[in-house]
Amino acid sequence: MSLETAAPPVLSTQTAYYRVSGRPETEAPPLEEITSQYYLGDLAQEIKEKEYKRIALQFPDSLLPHSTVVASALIEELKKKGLGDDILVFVLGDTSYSECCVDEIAAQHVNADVVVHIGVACLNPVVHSPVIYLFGQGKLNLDLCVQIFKGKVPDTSSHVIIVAETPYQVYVDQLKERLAEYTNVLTTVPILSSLTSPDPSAPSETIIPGSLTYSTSTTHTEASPIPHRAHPQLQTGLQSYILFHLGIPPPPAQLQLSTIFSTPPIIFDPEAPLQEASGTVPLARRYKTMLSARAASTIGILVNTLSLRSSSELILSLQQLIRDAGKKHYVVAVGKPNVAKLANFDVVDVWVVVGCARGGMIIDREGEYFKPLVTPFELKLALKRDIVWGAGEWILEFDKVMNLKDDTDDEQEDEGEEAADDEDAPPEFDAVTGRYVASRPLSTAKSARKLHIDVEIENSDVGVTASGNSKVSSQLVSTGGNAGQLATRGSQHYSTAGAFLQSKRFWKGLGSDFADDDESSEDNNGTGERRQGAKLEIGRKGIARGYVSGDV
Amino acid sequence: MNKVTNVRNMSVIAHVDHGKSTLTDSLVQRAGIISAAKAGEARFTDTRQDEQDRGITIKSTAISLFAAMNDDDVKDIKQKTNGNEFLINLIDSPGHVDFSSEVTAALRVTDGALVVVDCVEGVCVQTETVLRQALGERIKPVCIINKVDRALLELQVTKEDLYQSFARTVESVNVIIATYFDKALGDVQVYPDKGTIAFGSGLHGWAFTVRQFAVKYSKKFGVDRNKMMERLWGDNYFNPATKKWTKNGTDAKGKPLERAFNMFILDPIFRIFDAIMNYKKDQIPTLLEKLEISLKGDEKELEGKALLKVVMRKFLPAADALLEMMVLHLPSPVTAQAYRAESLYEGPADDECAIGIRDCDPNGPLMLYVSKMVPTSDKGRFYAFGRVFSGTVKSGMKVRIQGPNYQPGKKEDLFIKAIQRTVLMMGRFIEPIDDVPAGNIVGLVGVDQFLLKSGTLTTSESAHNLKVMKFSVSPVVEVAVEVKNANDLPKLVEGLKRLSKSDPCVLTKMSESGEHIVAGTGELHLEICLKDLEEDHAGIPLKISPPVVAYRETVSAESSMTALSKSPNKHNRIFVKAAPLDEEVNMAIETGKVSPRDDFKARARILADEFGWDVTDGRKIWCFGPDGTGANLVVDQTKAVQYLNEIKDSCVAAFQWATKEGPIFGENLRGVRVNILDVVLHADAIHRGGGQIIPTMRRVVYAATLLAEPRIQEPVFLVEIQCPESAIGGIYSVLNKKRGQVLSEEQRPGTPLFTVKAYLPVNESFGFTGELRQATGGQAFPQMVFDHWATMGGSPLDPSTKPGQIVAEARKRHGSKEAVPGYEEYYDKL
Repeated sequence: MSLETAAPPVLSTQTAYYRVSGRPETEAPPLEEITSQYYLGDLAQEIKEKEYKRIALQFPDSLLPHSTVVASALIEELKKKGLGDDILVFVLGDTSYSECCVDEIAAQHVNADVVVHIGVACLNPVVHSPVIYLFGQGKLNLDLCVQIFKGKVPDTSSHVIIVAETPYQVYVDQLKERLAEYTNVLTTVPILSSLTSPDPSAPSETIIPGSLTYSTSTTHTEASPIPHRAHPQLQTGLQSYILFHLGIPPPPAQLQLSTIFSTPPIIFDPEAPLQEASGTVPLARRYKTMLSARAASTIGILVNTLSLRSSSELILSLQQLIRDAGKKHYVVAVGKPNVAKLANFDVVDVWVVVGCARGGMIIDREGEYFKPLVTPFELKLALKRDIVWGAGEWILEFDKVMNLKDDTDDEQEDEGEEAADDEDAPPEFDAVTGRYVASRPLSTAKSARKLHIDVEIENSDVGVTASGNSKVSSQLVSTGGNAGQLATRGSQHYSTAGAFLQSKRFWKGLGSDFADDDESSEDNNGTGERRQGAKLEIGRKGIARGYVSGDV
Repeated sequence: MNKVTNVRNMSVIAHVDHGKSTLTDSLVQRAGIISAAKAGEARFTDTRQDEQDRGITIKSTAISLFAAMNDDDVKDIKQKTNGNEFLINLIDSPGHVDFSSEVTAALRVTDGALVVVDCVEGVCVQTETVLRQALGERIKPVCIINKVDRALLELQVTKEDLYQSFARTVESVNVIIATYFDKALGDVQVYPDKGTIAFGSGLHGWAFTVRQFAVKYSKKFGVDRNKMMERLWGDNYFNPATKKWTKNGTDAKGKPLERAFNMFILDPIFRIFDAIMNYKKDQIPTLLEKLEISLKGDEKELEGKALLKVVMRKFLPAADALLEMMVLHLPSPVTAQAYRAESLYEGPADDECAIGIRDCDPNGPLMLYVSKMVPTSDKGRFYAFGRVFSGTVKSGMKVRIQGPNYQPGKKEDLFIKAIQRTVLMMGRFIEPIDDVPAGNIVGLVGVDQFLLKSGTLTTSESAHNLKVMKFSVSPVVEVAVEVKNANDLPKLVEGLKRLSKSDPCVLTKMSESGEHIVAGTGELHLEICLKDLEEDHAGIPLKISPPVVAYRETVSAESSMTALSKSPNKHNRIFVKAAPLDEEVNMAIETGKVSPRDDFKARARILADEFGWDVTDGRKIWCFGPDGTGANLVVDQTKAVQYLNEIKDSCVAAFQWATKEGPIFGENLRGVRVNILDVVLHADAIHRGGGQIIPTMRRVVYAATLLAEPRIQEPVFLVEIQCPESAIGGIYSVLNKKRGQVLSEEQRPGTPLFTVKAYLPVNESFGFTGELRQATGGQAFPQMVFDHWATMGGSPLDPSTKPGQIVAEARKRHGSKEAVPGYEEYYDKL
């Protein structure tokens, strides 16, 4: 062993930081191409009309190399329109949560009037900023696409619906023209939520070029079950259509699409057209995850967006739901989530991810995460009294999830009446492990009601920061001496984190290892000297990047 | 019931089809619950329809009986008694190996066992298994040799042959008992001349002990009956000419004498059989008169077997013999708990609960063990069936319900709840009762929601658990169940819950790919479980997959190099090596001999003394896994690593995770010892938190496992087949085809029957019974019981080997990549 540990540990991060996605192109294309590819003329026109002064351009990581060129080209365009020096253009990169969403927080940092979102967009509405979606133009080999389409759909009378990732939307009409012999091909266009559910307080949203959208289309009149898309009148049920998808949807979206159609979607990846796209996670696995959420007693609400509209309402409604189910919740925001960050919270039994339906949801394919992750929809199902699954729908959109019919409330009532004050509620059967688990730490009969109110007060001001953790931990200190008895129960709050630390952890803090030594050597009649802890010395100080040792 | 010294708790155990339920009938009949005519056919304790249809017992059933003994008999009881009325709590258990978990549950709540042995078939594999279990629980056996009528009627043996056959059977029972000798229980071998063995026929409802005859003859001869008992068994002869007892088989003139057993006991029986079955009508009345049997009017009309039954039942009622044997020789709870306490209780031997159990004190703290759940007529609800070991349980009493994972001082698996009602279980009926003192068997209403299968009920806050039962069988055969209609899902899950409650051994869980799995001990067990699930518990149509086998992942050598993984932030490193555990250690962990609940010093001592471990290693076991109890270990072999204790929790959590889902195809690990050689940790606590350590520890365990010549293990059945010689060829050919491995082939002395024992991989056992029947013309019927895990030859990483194919197939089913990832996936370069 001496060999391998001879060198001191390297304390700085050496290896490259891995990005989640993106294949940066090294060279930016020539200026004219940029202007047309990014529809900068239309964009300048829009800016002029709406009189925006401070403009934030939000690029996905993969398009960041274009950013400076685009910015300067845009300024040129604006000058052509006669707009002067008072216009400021900012470039936003490295989005806080998911690339497909509008990064409102970053925009607020520069106090921008409008965010121009470039690249693949989820079209989920945000709270404050006006947005201009600039889809851009992805590279796509149309000939190959037609060829593959014909290969996969040999029957020219099949009902096919074409959906495209936003950068490939421009090719949809061309593709349809090239497939003239197919008589039952439909196309879809993006549709903004401001059109489907008008809300006067919502900021304005625009798509450029406008020709691609619902607002200009005369044929595409119906809002589709496919999120943020509209399609013409259908000839048969959408179920029986074959989905032809341009570009790879992210796993959650792919899973959702697979629940809408009865046949698995055909996915055309413009960057690797000949490769067979990998299948989705089977829905049965999500069923298992959902069941494990039923058995969870502590649920972590992982906030994976800050700007999406109705995310805070969703969080509040989830909190209420969890509380009603007698379970404990903690609200946690960790920036972009990863395995290591989430494994730090070992009290949490299951995570519910509140994030963008496209890029913000985490579908754990490889079983990497320490604790299972569910979507808000799955959590809602999990907290129902009866198990519901398999009706075929799998919903990601916040508003639809919030409007799901709730039938738990009245049934809870009669359960509560049965138990006497100091009796415990019965445990539940966990179908995943086949055991009984007590998954309702908060519902100790009558005190639970009182508890609800307290917890509500505690959490009422919770936006999206880690909830009440500080309060909880201070309480933990005061009751910690009670050797893990029912100390925290029946008092004002009940902290599963506190209970976890009391009962499940071997490590009880500094000095506990000495206590352990004492116990094991008690038989040699210790003189009491041993009971003294180590002498306190000044150790290293500073931050992880570089510590200072001793009195320097 | 309150006179605990007059209570006898006993279970009836035996090999399948040796006549347990039938014998129980004769006792039930004595209590007047069923008519004499039906006894032997009603099988009162087979309460389920399918039990009646198939003619096998599936669930164990309890019944309480009162017995009054005469004063003479009571004097012979060698333990404290009070009056001559006795309460007998009897549990009839299934004999088929697949249900032996029911036997385990029955044995736990009883103190004595009636071992039934078929006089023709002799001691079989399951006789041995249940006897071993009984002795392991410190349960005193008495024995009955059943189906004597078959020997008389079908085989037409002579008296001496019958005696020899009895003697052989007694001998082989005693061999087993001697093998599992337990000092605390003392010598419990059974002897006819001590009255601990009866002979009889459950079907005909008669039985006798040597003692009964001794009592009869002692009056006649005017000899002390204990002396008489000794003379009526073994090499004791009576010379009618000289009226002298002798140990020699010949008289003075060298003429052979008749053995006393044959002369005084078998002779009258043979005469009755001879007279009735050969229709010697003239002899019958004189014979009956001599034996003081009087027949009622219509009974006189009977003839043949029916008459035989009536006569024999009047002559030697089975209930008399059995009750006498139970009351005289089985221990009362007071006697039994004195020596059983230490093997029942997990806690220290000197706390109030241990003392309460030891003294069987009705005023002590309540200690009640729930050993199984019995379905009520109210669908989905269960009686918790168990035994009061200390204190008194009353209706309305508030108790602490401690599940199997409860640890004193912690809250996990602990509930407080009032008992709604206490009842007595009487076969298919129940009787309400106000309170039940220590030493009795009881059914409880209102606690079933808190316990899945078994648990401890107590009133003492400091009480430890009563020891969790260890089953001799293991649920290794799995099927996936699916609903046909998605709306039925809630019913399926509820049904699975009820199923796992109603059977002590069945496991329900979910596979990685999201299917509901039901795991049972064998094909028959699964068949019954699934039928129950479909028709009763869930009540919905189900899609059931073909059975598959549960595998385990293991290693066969030490890691070829030290495995290293770095934490995501690269600031922490863990160096480990994996090595195989000895199979003996695995077994010791699985049988609970070495357990995570032991004191670490005592555990280290056992490991060092019996398994050749280094004592320091033994003391530094961090954890077991998976579920904190499995046969995989983490051993800390680091030297002077700072902050090491801080990451222990994270390592333990990660190890549970890694051993639950192994690197090869997501099955449990088994028999892997992971030695932590060194750890490098960041000085700052925040950079060595769970988030950094848990994924790293998991990766490094995977890397070390993959570096240590990974193997997979498959479960193996021990098969016992009884058949005539002509069928042996067929058996061998089927076994060969199925990768079976013959252990022994023996002829049962005195019969034309052969017993073949073999190992058979569970994977090959599906359809084995059918094929065997086909190959042997229906003459061979196998008994299969899980025996051990066998490591399969060939690397599972190589898809051309058999294990490789199994792994590839399973990975495909789970929807993961078909190739097993290499160790490089989890290994970080320094």
